[in-house]
Amino acid sequence: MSTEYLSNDHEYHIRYLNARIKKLSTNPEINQNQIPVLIGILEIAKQAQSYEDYIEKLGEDFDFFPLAKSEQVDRFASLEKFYSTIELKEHIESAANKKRIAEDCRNYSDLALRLPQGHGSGFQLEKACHERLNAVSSFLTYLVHYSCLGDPKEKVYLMKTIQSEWQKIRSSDPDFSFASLLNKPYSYINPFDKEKLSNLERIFQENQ
Amino acid sequence: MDASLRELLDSYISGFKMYLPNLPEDHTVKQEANQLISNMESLAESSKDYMGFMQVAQEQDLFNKIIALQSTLAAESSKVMTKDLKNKKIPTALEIAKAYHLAYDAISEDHRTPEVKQVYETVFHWEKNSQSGPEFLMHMEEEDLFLQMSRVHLASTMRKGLKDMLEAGSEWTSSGLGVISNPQLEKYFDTMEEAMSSAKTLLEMEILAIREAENSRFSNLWDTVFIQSILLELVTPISAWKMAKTEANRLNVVTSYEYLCGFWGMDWDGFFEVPRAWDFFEKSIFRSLEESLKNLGINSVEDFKNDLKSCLDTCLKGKTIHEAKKPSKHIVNFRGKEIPLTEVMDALSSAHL
Repeated sequence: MSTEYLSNDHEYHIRYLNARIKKLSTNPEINQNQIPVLIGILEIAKQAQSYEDYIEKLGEDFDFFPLAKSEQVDRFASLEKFYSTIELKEHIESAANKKRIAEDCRNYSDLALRLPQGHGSGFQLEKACHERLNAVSSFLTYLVHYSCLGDPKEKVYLMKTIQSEWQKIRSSDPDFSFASLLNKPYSYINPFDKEKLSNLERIFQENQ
Repeated sequence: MDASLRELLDSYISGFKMYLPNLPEDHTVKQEANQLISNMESLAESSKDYMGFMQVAQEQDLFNKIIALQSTLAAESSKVMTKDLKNKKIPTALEIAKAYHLAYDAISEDHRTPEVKQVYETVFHWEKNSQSGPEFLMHMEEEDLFLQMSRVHLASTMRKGLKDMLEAGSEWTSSGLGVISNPQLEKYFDTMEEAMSSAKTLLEMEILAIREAENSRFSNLWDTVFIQSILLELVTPISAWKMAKTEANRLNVVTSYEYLCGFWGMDWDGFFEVPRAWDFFEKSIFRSLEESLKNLGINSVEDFKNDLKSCLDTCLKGKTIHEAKKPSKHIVNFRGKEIPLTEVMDALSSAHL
């Protein structure tokens, strides 16, 4: 229908929706769930005779909940994809869980209560990953420090700390080994090439 | 609380104020936002300085939580406005823009950059010149003002954050220069600003922010291990021996030097020829000790290096450590690739995920 006969507000709203669709369409990969939802809303707006008619035709979607939900699905789908490229397994799992929860949400309260920021199982998963990465950094730092120490007593004490860091890493990644340090995500943290790593591995194995 | 930290908090809080007045007190998301603000205040109170706060905030992923929560608040505000529509009450431009006045009022003078002023002036122009709420919202969307309000606000906060970081410690160094050597964090602020400019929606901005935060986290962890193993393990035992000239401390100097020469395939001068190691040595170690070193007649970073070398020679007691320079060892693993030690500074400044 031509917008010629529509009220100004209705026309403005259609232009508002068009502007949003245009922006989302510049990055269809990130916004893939929002775009069709917004296009659906735009179609309803175009078919409506007036602003009031549009609100009536939207029915229970008058609050734009499907759009808010699709934004959350897009958010966690993008995060899942990003974390897959850097191979942070806990973050991948956390994002995938949240995406599933978002897909399952039925109203705004669901979105607000079931996708909390900063706590919940996702937070625990991400915390475990954070602690493991820090433990890898400490493990490598301590191993070099161990090699630099002259006092045998200090060395014995430090080796216990090194073993504790090793256990911490293996508790959340049982397959972790020195070879892992050249693969993602550990290669992002490890500054040592193969030869230096072999040196540190030998020191670790000989002194446990 | 540190004045610059107070400004940073006020700046973030003003971002929330854009949306909070639109929601009732018992609204779950509003309560969550108030809780986050309260947590930020507590963290700031308990942090010893600006950098301490930034470090913990980054570890807790606080900045991404802020962006995510502001995005949720925006959606919730939109829902409240749509409810008004359902009741056949079309909001006026004045009603919608009320929150943006509150947000602007909360921005401190320091953060009212020309860009910030320009964006809000445009928002208030359309508030005055729109006949209704829908017309106002249309102009806001067509001229990208929702995103720009968040963008200019964050950009101004980040620029201030970078400036504060680079100047950290300058109040007590005799040269008046800062003591932070952190190319990856400098890069983080720059890249974030670039990323924010390219984003078309708050969600895109959030995803880009998370990517940059992870990039920065990895670079920081990498650099911590690197600096420790190529520089601090070298100079810390010498400093300990200078403070307490015990046989145990002397032995640590000899052992560490011997091990590091073999590990990196270089001698004393070689370590200081590594640009990243020298940058850290000059900015973070020398500048922070500059004042006390002057009392010992050490007036330059070169003097300081030579003083440490003379201590090393004393500890070695004539022992010669034969480590031929081995260029094959002058490499590091950087994100899965082997690169020369000389390229570490550039790698940290240009790393991306």
